[in-house]
Order: sequence, then structure tokens, then C-alpha cells
Amino acid sequence: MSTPTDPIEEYLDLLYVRLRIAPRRARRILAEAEDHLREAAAQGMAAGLTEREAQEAAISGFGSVRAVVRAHDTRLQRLPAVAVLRDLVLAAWMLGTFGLLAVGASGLVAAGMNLLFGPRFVGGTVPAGAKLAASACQGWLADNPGTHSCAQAAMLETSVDAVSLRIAAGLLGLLLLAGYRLVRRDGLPGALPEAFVPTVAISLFGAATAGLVWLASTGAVVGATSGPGFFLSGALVALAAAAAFVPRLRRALLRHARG
Amino acid sequence: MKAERLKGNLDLLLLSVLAAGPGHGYAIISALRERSEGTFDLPEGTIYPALHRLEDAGLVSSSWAVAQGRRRRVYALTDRGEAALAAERTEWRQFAHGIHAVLGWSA
Repeated sequence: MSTPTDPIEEYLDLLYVRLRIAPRRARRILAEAEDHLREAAAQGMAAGLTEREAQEAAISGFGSVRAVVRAHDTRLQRLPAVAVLRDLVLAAWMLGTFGLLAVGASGLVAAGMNLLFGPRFVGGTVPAGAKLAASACQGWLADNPGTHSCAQAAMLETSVDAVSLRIAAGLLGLLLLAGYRLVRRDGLPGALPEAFVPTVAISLFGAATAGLVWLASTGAVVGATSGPGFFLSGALVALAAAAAFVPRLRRALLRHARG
Repeated sequence: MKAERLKGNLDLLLLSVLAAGPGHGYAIISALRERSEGTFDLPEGTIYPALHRLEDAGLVSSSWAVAQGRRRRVYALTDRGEAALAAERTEWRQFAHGIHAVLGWSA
């Protein structure tokens, strides 16, 4: 058993801490480093050095922990600033695209809710005592000619807008998706960790789910009027989107662990 | 010799050392230093990534062995590695011939 002040042990401990790579690869690197250092130290002692001198000479010949870590980490060897910036922009593009597609899908869910539960579930009711601007009322009544009151017209306007405007956002998402596929057709692995995009996506869509459910449960109102379906339609899609990224995150983490 | 220039040719040098027979990391690196008469003296720990890269490329294979109570990885040239070494040697010979000719040295 080596003493606590054994320089090789200390070197290997530091290498272990600094190596931020897959566990299997790290274990192999450490085993090879220890074998190399012990062999070099034995040669040094055979040449007349003391044990400590031989160990220090072996470490000196092996190279600094920083140099060895850098040599093993292929990610550090690429041009980090440009590659990481490019991949961050692409990741933001991809996440923004998925966000818009999710908004579009929530429009379809809102349409389904309108059919199943009636427009009031999404459109809500105007809070008692709320004053609606006359100019806004004119617009809502003009858009919904069969309605008898400003409140009813506002409710219908919200229930219809929750579908049409969101689907328009979804169509924009499809355009961005086509552009993204065109840019990323090289299929080359990026500088960012594979788990980065699914981790961010699950976090964002998960937070969106929680936030929208909370808004629905508190009876929050957006604009003149909105019902629980206005938020729940979004929450359902956000939850599905977060779940859709889980297998990708799992695959990325397993691949990383296996090296 | 500049480290960057050496790194650019490290794969060829490692394959060439392994052509003499299988060996573990320390032995390969010692052979590289001795055969170059001390000219090629990189930090030893930075040569292992090159061995791993050659293995990932299928030019070298490796397996665990036990010596002096320690596990050690022993590397050997594969058939693909031998073919790659032969091709690299031919290319390097032509390159060196050209450099020598331009510098006015006899080959």
C-alpha cells in the first residue's frame, strides 16, 4: 500500500478529478497512467535514484496533469469558441423551432377542446366588474356577428384566436424546421455534449407545463378573457414535448457512460 | 524538434514502433525515444491518446495483461495498421526525397 504522500498516488488522484470524460475511458487512462508511472519509477530506482526521486522523475516525464487531460479530451482540442458558439446558435434555433411547433400543436388541442367542451372552456368568461374598452368591443362584435354581448364576443374571439394564432405559429415552426434541416444536413457531431439539447428541452418544456397548470388552477386571465382550457391546451402539449425528449436524453447519457 | 511537427507524424512513428512487435505503453514510448536517439521526447502521457485514436481507427488492437501485479494494456498492429504503415512509409519516402532534393542534400 502506498503512503499518503506517494507522489504517484497524488498525481493519479488529481488526474482522476480532472478527467471529465466517460467513466470507462477514464478508468483505462488511469490504469495505463499508473502502470506507466510505476514502471518508469522502477527504472529510475534501478538507475540509482531514491524512491521519491524516481517517482518525481517519472511524473515529470509523463507530463503535467493539465497537458495529459488536454491531450485526452478531444472536445478541448477543437476550436472551442467558434464551434461552441455555432452549436449554441443551432441549439437555440432547434429549441425555438420545437417551441413554435408545440404552440401550433396546442392550437389543435385548443380546437379539440372547443369542440368537446364548448368555446367557454378555452375562451373563459369576462371577470365580474371588468370594464371592456368600447373600441375593443366593436372589433370583437364585428368579428363575431352572431353574438349578443361584448363579453360573449370577447370569449369567442379568445377561443378562436387560441386556435388560429397558435396554428400560425406552428406553421412558422415548420418553416424554421425546414431551414434547420438544410443547415444541419452535414450530420457532423457538434461541440456541445449530446445531452445538452434534450436536457434544456426537458427543463424548458417541464417548466412550461408546471407554469401553465398553475395558471389554469389559479384562474388567471390573459387579455379580456381566457378559460382553463387556454392554459391546459398548452400544458398538455408542453408535457408531451418534454416526454418526447426523455428517450434522447437517456440514449445520450448511456452513450456517455459507456464511452 | 517542435512538438507540433512531431505530433503531425506521431501516428506513423507509433505504427512503425509496433511493427517490431506488440508492446505496452511504456515500452512503446521508450522505443520511440531510443530509436529517435532522444530527438522525439514528448510528454509521455500525451502519447496514449494517439494510441487510443489508432485503436479507434482499427489500425491497432489492444488487450489487458498482468505484469508485476499490475494491469497493463498491450498494443499490437492490426492487418489494417500494417497496410496503413506501408502506405505511409511510401508516401513519407517520396516526401523526404522531395525535401532533400529541394534542400540540396543527397538522399
